[in-house]
Amino acid sequence: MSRLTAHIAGQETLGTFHLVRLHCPQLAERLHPGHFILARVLPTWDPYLRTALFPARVDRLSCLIYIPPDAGRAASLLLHAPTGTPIHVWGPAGHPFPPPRPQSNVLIIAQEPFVPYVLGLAHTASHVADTVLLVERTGNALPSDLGWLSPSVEFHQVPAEGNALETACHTLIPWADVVFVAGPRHWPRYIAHLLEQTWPLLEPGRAYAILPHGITCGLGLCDRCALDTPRGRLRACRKGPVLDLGEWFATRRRR
Amino acid sequence: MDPWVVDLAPRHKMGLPLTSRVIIAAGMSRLGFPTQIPYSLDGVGAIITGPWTWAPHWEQYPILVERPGAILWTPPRPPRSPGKVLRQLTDTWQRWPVAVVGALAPGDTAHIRDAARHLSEAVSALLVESAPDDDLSAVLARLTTAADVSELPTWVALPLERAREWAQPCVHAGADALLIGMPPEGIWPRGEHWVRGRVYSPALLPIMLAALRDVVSLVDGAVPLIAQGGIHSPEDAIRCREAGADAVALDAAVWVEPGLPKRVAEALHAWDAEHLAEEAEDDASSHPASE
Repeated sequence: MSRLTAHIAGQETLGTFHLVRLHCPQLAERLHPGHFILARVLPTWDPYLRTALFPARVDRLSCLIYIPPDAGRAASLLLHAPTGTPIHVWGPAGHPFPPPRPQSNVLIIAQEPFVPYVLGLAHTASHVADTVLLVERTGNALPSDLGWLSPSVEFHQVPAEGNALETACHTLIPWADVVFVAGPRHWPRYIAHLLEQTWPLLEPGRAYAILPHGITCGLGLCDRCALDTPRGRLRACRKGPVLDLGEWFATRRRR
Repeated sequence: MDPWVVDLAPRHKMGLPLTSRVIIAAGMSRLGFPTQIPYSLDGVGAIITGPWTWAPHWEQYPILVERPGAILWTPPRPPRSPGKVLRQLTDTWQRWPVAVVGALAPGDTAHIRDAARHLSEAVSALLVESAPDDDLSAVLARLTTAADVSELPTWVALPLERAREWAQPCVHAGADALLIGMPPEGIWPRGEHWVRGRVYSPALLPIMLAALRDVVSLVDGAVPLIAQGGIHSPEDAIRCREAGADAVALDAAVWVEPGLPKRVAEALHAWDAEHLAEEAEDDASSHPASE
């Protein structure tokens, strides 16, 4: 993790999601899906500890940072700052998603508000593996056209009502070699349960979840991102934000 | 070349020589587990771990409230079995290149005695802290208890608002160094609740510098002084050195800039080199060699 100065290269929207493009080649070359950065608009002390923000897409020179609606004043400062505004950035922080193996089957399961956290992963995975993105729609946040998604990603969507997600998971999980998950706080445990119904054993290295919820200080100080798992309490900003479900949430162990 | 830059307990028989004038303040490293430290130890001379207590207590998670330019922070209480945790940490600390100072959480003398006895096995010095409603006699009682139980140097952290009043009595009672000062107590709203904790902000620097200058003139070099509060840049640290501090303790600034300790250590080292060269020149000009 190192201190860098990035510059705002523009603001973009994806449906109702707000994204800010940061120009910083040094950051872009080290940032991977799942990493987060700690950012603050210069030259204020607001926010004092910076805000944890996640990249939605990264290219060679810049990265597209997702500004969640609960990012507080940082959100409005970043969204209204003019192009060229300098930003203090610490990063990349946290443990990212492991790169998918070539020729493998990658299943990404996300709830609609959390799709920006796995967009970069879907894009990267689609270059090397067969990739399916399964989204549980909870509203109309995503645009209806698929121009926002790499054409090589197979896109499935299910409504939040009933058990449509479970049905889709039971169909797709047997196909998948590795599963990535982005959803609300209870999802890692819930998806681990679904995986254990399908796979004989949820082994480490086969399923990962990103836990961006409540990463407030991003430094392991405030315990807002603390999560109780079958293996004990952890802080997502220090152990994650990407956690191995087989390591932390498996209820059955190999004998 | 002598690697020791400063001794922060020159009155003590063992002393406390450090390789850098940069210290990390209590609570900033939580208990001192390497995985809990979100900043770089490059350039750090000592970290203050804790505060520790062996008194029965409920485990409490940390509280952090953020406002523009400041945070209110309450460190987590130590674990309910601190002895076990301390045994795990002792091996780690002995391998570290930095000294570890154990902060004693405010409490009655029996609890201070317990904590000082346990910590003495693991740390290089002890730090006596005060609670917001403490009076001077309570702090002096803790200081003498800690010094009686332990063979280690004992520092005292003075609250910013009482630093002038308490400095001399603490020196007379045997403090080996004074830390000026503990951040002020605050009560801030969080959601529908009010939370209590210590306030950290760059705005504290001028208040701390004023208190530091007064204490410098009061103690007149009897013990080393450590400046803490609002130090957020190498320039702030140099202002503290100019005001008379022997070392600086970085608090929430290390969360704001995790690479700050190294930058501050380099700046202080450069300032010392320049300052010592000037002093040597002055000495040479005032005592010219006789023909």
